[in-house]
Amino acid sequence: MHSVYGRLLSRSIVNGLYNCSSSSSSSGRTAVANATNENVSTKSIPKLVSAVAGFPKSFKSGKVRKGQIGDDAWLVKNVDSADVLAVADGVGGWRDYGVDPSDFSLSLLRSIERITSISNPCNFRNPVDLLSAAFRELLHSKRPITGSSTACILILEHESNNLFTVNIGDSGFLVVRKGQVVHKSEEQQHYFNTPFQLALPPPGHHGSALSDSPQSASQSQFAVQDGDVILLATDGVFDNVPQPVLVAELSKLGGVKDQLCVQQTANSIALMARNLSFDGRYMSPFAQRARDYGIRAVGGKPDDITVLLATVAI
Amino acid sequence: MLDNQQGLVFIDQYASRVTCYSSQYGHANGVSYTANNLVGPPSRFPAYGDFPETYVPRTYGPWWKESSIIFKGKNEVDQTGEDFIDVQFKKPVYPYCVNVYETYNSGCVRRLWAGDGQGNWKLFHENSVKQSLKQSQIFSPEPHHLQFLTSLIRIEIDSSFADYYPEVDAILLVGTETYPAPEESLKLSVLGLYAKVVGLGLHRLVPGFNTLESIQRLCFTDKLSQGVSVCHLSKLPEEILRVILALLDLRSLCSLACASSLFNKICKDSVLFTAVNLKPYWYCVNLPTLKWLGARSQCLQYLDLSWCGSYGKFSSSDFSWFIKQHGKRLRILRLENCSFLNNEALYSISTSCPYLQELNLRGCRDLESTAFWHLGKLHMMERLILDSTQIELPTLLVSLQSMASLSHLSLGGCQNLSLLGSLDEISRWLNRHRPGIVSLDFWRSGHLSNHGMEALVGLERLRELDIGWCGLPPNGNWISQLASRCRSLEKLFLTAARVVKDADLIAIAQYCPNLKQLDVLGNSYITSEGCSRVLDKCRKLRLLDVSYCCQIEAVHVANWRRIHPYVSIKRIFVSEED
Repeated sequence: MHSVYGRLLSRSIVNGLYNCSSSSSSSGRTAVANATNENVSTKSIPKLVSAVAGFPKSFKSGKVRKGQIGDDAWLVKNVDSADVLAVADGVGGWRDYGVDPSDFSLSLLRSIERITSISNPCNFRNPVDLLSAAFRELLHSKRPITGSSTACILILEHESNNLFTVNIGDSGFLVVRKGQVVHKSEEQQHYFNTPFQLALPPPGHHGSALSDSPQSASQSQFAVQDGDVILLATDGVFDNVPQPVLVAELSKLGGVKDQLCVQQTANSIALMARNLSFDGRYMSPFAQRARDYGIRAVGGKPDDITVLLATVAI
Repeated sequence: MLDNQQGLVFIDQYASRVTCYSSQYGHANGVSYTANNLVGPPSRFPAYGDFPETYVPRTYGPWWKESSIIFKGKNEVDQTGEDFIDVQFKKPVYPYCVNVYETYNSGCVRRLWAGDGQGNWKLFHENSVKQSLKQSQIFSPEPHHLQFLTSLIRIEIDSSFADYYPEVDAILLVGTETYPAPEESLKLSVLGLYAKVVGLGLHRLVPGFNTLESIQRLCFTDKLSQGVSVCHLSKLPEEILRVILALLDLRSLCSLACASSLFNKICKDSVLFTAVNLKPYWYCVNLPTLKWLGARSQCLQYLDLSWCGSYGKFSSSDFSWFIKQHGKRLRILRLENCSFLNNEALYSISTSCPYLQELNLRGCRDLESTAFWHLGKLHMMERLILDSTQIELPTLLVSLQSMASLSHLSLGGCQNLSLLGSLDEISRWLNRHRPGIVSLDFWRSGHLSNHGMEALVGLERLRELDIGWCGLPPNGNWISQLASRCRSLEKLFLTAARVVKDADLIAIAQYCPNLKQLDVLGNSYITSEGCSRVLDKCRKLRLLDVSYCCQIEAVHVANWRRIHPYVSIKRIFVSEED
């Protein structure tokens, strides 16, 4: 058990490292090319120093694929004109119907990856279209894909230094500047613990399953500054770690451009969420919210935990 | 960039844009299996398999040509591929080498062309090997310099012998900005020729073989042929000659016309030009060709101009002139991927070809939707093929009203019909007004609801139905009903319908004894039991595609292949890679 645990942790760290190094090196290259080609534009290109960490709720399911943590999926992608960060949380209830919940979330993010690498840059300013296109792509898969998922996508467009976001469901993001939350996602729930979700139910379950259109996602636009810290995470983090604690952790990273530091913080947030989620006596944000709905609950909420952490370097 | 000893600078570049293509498997707005996937470096090569990140043409194998409904044109000695795709590169070069990265059912590249973007093409390579490989490969013809500055490459793909859909990942063009000096290129080609002769061992074939002398003999053969100019063919009666000449293809006919004044006269006979297929000559058909054909076209009934006239080789007014002058007797007109077509051209067709029975406009993506209003004047129309065009619902329904004997309607991949309810509306209209329709293709053209399906199952004469990639209603046993009412079905494509169950297959087995082709790709509910039933009962079955049906195991398929050797059973399954 312990060895698997350790391997998973180191694997996610390696993944994180790999992603960051590739993203920073390629944006570095474009910056150099820009500087040599045209001296007219002195504007430097922003980049994200990013890291990924996380834990699956259970280590029992054997499959470990890149970009997947339990039923969660994540994506860190750098293309010429933008950095793309995304998480998707596959809805676990489908397991009872013999459907692998990670299939939907992972396929959704892989579609996003492919679309961002081919499509023209103007799409980035309208991330709802990106989400719709990715969702449509799942319908065009030869292999039938069923299940449902929440999704949250952040796109840092290099030209405008703007962060374009789209969110459907209860994953979310925080942007912290000088110890203050300057921008965050809105949670979208139908009712308690039932988030908005994109869904492709198996035929025959269409009436019974919740299914929201990509158009119902909330989108926003936000101008980032050098040193901003961005946390993108699934509900496994936000349901277990109180926001003030997260903000305190993120504040330490303000202006840090060292990938290793970012990775360490990502790891510690993930580990904190993991430990709290299995603490039966802890009054988690999730339990508090349950009480608001009149449900007597205590303890953390065991769930898949995915942390994408990035600092903005301009 | 590579430098060789001649001081030439070789530039290698991947495709930067796709300018034109004949067909694609993927959805026009999607990113899976689409032509745009050819842009940039390979994304999956050297892996081998069915990958959505590649380009896939819509058809493969002999299956699509085996349709009993489509009229087969005159046989041409045809080296043309089934599909083509034009890719643009950033920098114009003198091409030296073209690499095509193939990731599935490799070996489908038939010809490579270099174009100047104005409709002029030079053949770079022709591949005569017709063999499909079960591994990924870089198709790379022997390098040679083409004295033709180009940034446009056309690949012709011939998938007619492939076992399944071929897939192409990327295209690399290697060339130089300057053309090598003549003596250098001569040196290169002489060396190449020498290497070929030695490689084949030709110099050892004949003892005492003198290369120089034999080349001289080759060059001055006219001395040898003197005195043996007896041509028995010309002594035959003209009627018999005509019968013989009618069997010739266009190219041979033209060659023969140059042989003597007698043949020249006979070869002009318009009876020989009742059916003309210019598609194999797409690269050279221009206004003079049309004029040449016009002089012989008093009896022209069948004309195939597919692929012709692209990049301004001839204009829509040239075409309109031809059709107005010579289209009176046309019954079949095929204009696949003709980018010159516009409103004026369709108007000319509709007013000048009163007897037209088949019109094929597949892949004319640039033709504006308003032009289709003219179709309503074609009262004799039987087969209308409008795949991948911009036709809209109101235009289509109004046009169909005047086509009383319509038997075949093909609307695959029509984007403007994907609006909710369009296919339902068409199905209902057909049910009410053309219940005798024989063949219908809705492939990837939108959604069918319960209303649409109800209308569709009432088309009892249907022999061919393609509702692949149409969203079907999740509830209701429509496929069973379809099978029990449309009992003469020969081809049924339910690709990615997602709702097909064993009960449907059992109904198909029970009611459709004539079924030849069945595609149920991507239906996770069907099991080996339903498929076995179909294989047992449908004795005429030749194609069964059960790819991505997760309950069908390889063992089942192996067993079926043994019991039913005449059925080509496809089962591709690529799970998400790790």
